[in-house]
Amino acid sequence: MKNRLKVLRAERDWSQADLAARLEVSRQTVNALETGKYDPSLPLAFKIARLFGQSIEAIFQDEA
Amino acid sequence: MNCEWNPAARRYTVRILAAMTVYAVVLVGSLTLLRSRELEGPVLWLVASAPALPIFGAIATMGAFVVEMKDEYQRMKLVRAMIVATGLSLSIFTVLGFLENAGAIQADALWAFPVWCGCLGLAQVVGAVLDR
Repeated sequence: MKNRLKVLRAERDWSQADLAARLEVSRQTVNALETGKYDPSLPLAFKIARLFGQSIEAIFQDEA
Repeated sequence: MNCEWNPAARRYTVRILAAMTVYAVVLVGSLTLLRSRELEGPVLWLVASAPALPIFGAIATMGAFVVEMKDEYQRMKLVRAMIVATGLSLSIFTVLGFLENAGAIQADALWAFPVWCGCLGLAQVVGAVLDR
């Protein structure tokens, strides 16, 4: 699943560690999300959407 | 690691250390009793199997760690490694069981948990390499 996490993070000048702290996950998790190695659960996806003030669909794009 | 991951890891470390300390004490006590006395029946079973109780505690601690982990990606990786370790150790002991059945070796079921732990470590290393 593609996502705009890296772009959204860069727009705010946050490091992966900054985003990880805000999401209460590890930096490795943020890296796995950004590189598309891991798709978040719905609760985490909602948390990400709330943090960036956008809808889930605006951040994550289904490749199917 | 993050602020949610650390408390669970700390609790896990404390619990595992406590379980292993109790294990060492109970094991020494059990072996001492088994060697110094002619135990029979239920008492023999109780004393001989007593060191398994703290091992149950260690296994429960691992389960609690999975439940208490707040980071879902780290939890997924750990659970994946545990599944691989279970498959690997079951395979190893199936082979050992057949070898023992044929009289080729004398397998020791006591090694089941240490072998599983070894397989878990191996699975985590392989998982970390593959996730790079």
